[in-house]
Amino acid sequence: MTDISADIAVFLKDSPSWADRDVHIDSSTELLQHGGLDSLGVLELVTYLEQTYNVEILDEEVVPENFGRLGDVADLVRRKLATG
Amino acid sequence: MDFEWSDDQRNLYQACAAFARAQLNDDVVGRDRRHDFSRHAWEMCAKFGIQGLPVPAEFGGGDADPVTLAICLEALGYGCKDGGLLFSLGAHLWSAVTPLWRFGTVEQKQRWLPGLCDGSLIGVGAMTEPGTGSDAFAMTTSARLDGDHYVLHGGKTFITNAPVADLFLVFATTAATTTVVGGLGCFVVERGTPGLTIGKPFRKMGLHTSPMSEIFLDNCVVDADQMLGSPGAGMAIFNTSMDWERSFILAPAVGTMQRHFEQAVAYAKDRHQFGQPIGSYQAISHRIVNMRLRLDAARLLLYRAAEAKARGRSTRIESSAAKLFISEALVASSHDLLHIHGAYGYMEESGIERELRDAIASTFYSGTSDIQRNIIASRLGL
Ligand SMILES: Cc1cc2nc3c(=O)[nH]c(=O)nc-3n(C[C@H](O)[C@H](O)[C@H](O)COP(=O)(O)OP(=O)(O)OC[C@H]3O[C@@H](n4cnc5c(N)ncnc54)[C@H](O)[C@@H]3O)c2cc1C
Repeated sequence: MTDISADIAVFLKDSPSWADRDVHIDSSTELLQHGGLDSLGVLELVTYLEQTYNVEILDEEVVPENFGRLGDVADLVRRKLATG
Repeated sequence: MDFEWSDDQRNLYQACAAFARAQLNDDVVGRDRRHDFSRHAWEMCAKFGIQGLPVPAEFGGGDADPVTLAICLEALGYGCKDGGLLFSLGAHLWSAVTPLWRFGTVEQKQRWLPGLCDGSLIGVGAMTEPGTGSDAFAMTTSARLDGDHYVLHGGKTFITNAPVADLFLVFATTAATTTVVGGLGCFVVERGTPGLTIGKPFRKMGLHTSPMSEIFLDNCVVDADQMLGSPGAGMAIFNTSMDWERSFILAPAVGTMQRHFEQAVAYAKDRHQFGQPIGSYQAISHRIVNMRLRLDAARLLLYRAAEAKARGRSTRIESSAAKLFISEALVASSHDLLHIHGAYGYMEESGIERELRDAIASTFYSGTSDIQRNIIASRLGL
């Protein structure tokens, strides 16, 4: 698991919208299959990513292709970091 | 940082304001009384290019950048006194045109955008349900995939333009779970589709010339290619459109507040009591100064949001701040104008009491003021 995936997993485990779910989280975790992220959960995660990695995530990027698996979220952040 | 408009921008403003003043103010008081939506005014706006302003020219639009868009809409609100028409145009632009423009396939854009731009089609987004207002994503309206089509079931309420609309962009859950990323779709439903019923027009406090009703979906079948975006992209579509909506839905209100301010100054100089123009009393002049300060701040917030949009930036704080501040400033400005005119302003014929009734809704639609504050707080990590 890369650092970004690990960071996101830690964040999700502690976040109020995920905390009480008994699901092991790693980069292959299908977020959607485990109830997915609700609107508040998404907002918290996006804010966390923007502040932690200093990237900007547009509303139109919050789609299943980028937020379906935890690894997809990490890939999105990695792509943003690579393109500056 | 340059706060001055260019000559081109000033000319554009003047042209839009002159158009609105000349073409859109016919019998506003009477139409408000009769709850009359003016299809004629709608068509005049389309001819002038309002409904397609941000849309690429290849789909019938005006290709306007966000700052140009704000200038045109501000000028429209300065010249046009029909708050209901301005609001119907906003609902059409931000909740129907924008999702199609940002998320439609080329075929979907070719099919619907030219009509939405040229005034032959009226559109609106349908999100709110009787049980879900601010908590919009908790909706129960569902869309079940059945072969090559979706079957929609449920109902939506407070839908602007519904009594006259041709296209409804309906948000519905596509998954059994409550997940919002991946579990929500946006469907273009045409008027006349079997299973779609439009409710009776609501009677409301203001915005009488902007019709509104419920819609009901009872086994309403739409082709799979009437879904916008990739499967499950409904949340991205809604949030993206709402962000444009929050940035610009109150752009006309800045023009309206400019008109209020000028009207207040003129009346305060003209109206005499106790042998003095009422503007010589601080109670009145300070109120007018406050109108001016709110107007200036509202304009800065509008153009800050527009500028950020022009640079392709995420504008969550800028758009919510613009929506929140301008809506509350509009209510205060309308109330101040009424106060300065005394009983004359309270009379229907003055048109001033209508401006206050119309203004109040702005703190509810597109997310209430409380919700805008929540969004900004969450962006601050609070
Ligand atoms: C003129 C007008 C036009 C509209 N047009 C459309 C349309 O075209 N399409 C559409 O889908 N919808 C439309 N709406 C609906 C609009 O989006 C909702 O009214 C709005 O989202 C608020 O929902 P609600 O009215 O059910 O209030 P509720 O959500 O029930 O809120 C009631 C009160 O509680 C407060 N509140 C709720 N939750 C919170 C919270 N978490 N924190 C703090 N305070 C909270 C609110 O601020 C409000 O004061 C329209 C509404 C109006 C007034």
